[in-house]
Amino acid sequence: MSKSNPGKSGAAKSTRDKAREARLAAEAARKRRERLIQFLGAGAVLLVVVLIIVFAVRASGGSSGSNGPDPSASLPKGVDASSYAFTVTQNPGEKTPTVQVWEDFQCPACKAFEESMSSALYAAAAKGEINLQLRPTTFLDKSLPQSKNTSARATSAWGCAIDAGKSIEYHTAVFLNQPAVEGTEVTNQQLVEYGRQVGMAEAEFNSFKACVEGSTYLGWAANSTAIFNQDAVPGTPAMYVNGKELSLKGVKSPEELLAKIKTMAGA
Amino acid sequence: MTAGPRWERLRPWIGLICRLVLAGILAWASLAKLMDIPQSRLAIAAYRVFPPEWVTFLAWGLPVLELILACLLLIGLFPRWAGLATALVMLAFIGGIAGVWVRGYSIDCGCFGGGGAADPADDIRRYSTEIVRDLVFALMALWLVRWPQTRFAISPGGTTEFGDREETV
Repeated sequence: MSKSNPGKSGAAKSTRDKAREARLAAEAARKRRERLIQFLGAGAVLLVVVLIIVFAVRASGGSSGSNGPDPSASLPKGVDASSYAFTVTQNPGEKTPTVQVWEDFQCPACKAFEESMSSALYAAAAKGEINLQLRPTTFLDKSLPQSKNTSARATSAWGCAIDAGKSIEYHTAVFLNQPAVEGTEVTNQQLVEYGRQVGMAEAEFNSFKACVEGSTYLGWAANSTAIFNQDAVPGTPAMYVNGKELSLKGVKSPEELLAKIKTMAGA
Repeated sequence: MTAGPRWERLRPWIGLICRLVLAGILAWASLAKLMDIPQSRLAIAAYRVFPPEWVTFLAWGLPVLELILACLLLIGLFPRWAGLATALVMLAFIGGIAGVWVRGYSIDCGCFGGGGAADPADDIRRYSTEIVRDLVFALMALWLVRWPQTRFAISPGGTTEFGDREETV
């Protein structure tokens, strides 16, 4: 065909050159067009992306901005005013290792932790071996809307129980009474009832009841959760020894846990 | 290439399907995250890979990147680059999930918003489906890297591999 036999005659060569030039020009034009399309397309994509982000964040109520702790919230006795942690250990020594436990009252794994590990921690705290701090979070309320903010209300009620002098007892009671199905609502009435279960005296019980029904410490729950989010705690239950996370995975017994705490505190 | 002309005609259509499916998946994943940034921060923190400052950056950066890729794939702009970036994002997700699986944590991947801790009893089923799913997406993205020419794309993607200028004159 025509493509075979190159360099046959000068005339044929020049027509081929012309064809090639035309092809090159067309190619250049095509490339310019394509570049223009790419340029405009990229601009359009950027614009659309920015618009969608603005809309999405607006639609979600801009919740990311309004999440800082509110310093005016009232706090239960023994709760630190900057970390919002409740300190279990009375008068911890200077060198006592700080053990912090993050929990959500609706979290099933936290219930399991409370049942298997916490009495050993409470005992160690009572003996002054560790400076135990309990840190509530309510992050599950958002993913379990059917619970009607059970985590926050339980945390607030726990604050009332702390004031009534039943901090550990009530904390344990809420976990032991945790509904079998995650996300089931625990009513304020039930939360008040747990106060009776842990044996509050009549006068204390009455003020406890008023405190729970008045949602007194919802602000504390929100503030502690804000710190939980700020510190990007990876979930619940989570334990920190002197500020370093202690992985609770594979810890089989309270003895093993205490040994791990000791090793981390010593290091 | 030994493929016949039928295959050649079919290929741009398969590419279109890959583009649209990936664009839909990415847009959905991105919006779910953007609508709830605090929850995404928690989901990212649950992977236990990044320090807190990074977590905030990723909680914003990841959905923005996903959204950009979704738009590029939808209109068919820079298909090869978009495909490559999508494949890398998917591989990073697979690595993240495999990482938490190996280390024995129990988390919800947070792929489409949500996330955080999850039911440990369900781990194997959940992690393996997530990995297989992301692997399929990664393969679709790699398809676009190999064959970026697709139907209804605004840009041919800067490749002449399958252009019409290869015929003899």
